[in-house]
Amino acid sequence: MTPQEAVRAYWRAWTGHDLEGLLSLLAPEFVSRSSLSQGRAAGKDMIAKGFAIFDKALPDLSEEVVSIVAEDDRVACEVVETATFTGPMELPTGVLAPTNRSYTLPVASFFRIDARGLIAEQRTYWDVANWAHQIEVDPALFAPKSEPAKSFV
Amino acid sequence: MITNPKPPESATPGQPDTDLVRAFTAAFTTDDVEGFYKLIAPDAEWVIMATGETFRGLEQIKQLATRSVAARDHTDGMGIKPFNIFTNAEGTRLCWEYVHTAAVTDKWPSSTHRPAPGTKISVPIILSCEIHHGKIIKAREYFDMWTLVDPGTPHRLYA
Repeated sequence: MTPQEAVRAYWRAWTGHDLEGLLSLLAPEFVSRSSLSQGRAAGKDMIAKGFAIFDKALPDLSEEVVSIVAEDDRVACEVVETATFTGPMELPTGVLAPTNRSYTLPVASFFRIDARGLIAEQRTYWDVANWAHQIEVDPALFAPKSEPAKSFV
Repeated sequence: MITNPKPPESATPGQPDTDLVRAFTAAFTTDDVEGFYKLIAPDAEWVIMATGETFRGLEQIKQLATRSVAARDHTDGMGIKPFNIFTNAEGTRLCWEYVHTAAVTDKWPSSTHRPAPGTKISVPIILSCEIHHGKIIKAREYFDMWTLVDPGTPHRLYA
């Protein structure tokens, strides 16, 4: 699997609601940083928890890759995420009742692929305020209680 | 890590335009707006993905650049700090990932959600660019407005 194929498979796993498939693409030392985590590093365990939360809250979640650029072990892509908030969102800060609001969200992500063809690193950029506005929830509820990371890198 | 170690060379079809990438990096990190304009196609499009605000054509992009530069101050070591730059093999796509640290000025472009002048911001950003005939024809800028505005409200950055 090429780096580009690994990244496409990653997004297909989200769309297919395939947690096992998703985790199989990630290296043991996988680290993700995103707008939602305000740069805090998240490993495979946190990705699995996030997946479970969103799988329940956003059962029609879909990711469409609209642009991709790759060089050696690096891949950057643009994705359009769509979903409808129809299930309870069980956040660490509390449970959000579904608003039945649909959203369309532009997302960009950078990936680094290791020598085994596994995803070792991801940084994801999207506008939490935009997303929260579309699904009609207070984005402060997504804020982790710890201090934001000093660096996104 | 900034990856552009090769000496400048002319762009040829099917080859990454290292001249363009290097010139873009130099201009974008030094607020060299005149140098920046030379790298933008006349019919280019620049989109702020967080808000959907779209700037079409060189004149609108010049206005965007002018307002952006005026809106922040890069003293005390702050500035535009790229850390991950690469193109595809064909040289038609550019990924330009950076962190922008700055102090907000009283020229902040948004009519609402105006941070107080002097407010320090640190915004991770990824630029996805399309390159055509040695110039940037499309740029899409992704970042999280949550770091800049009051949460949960409709917002614009340049209106």
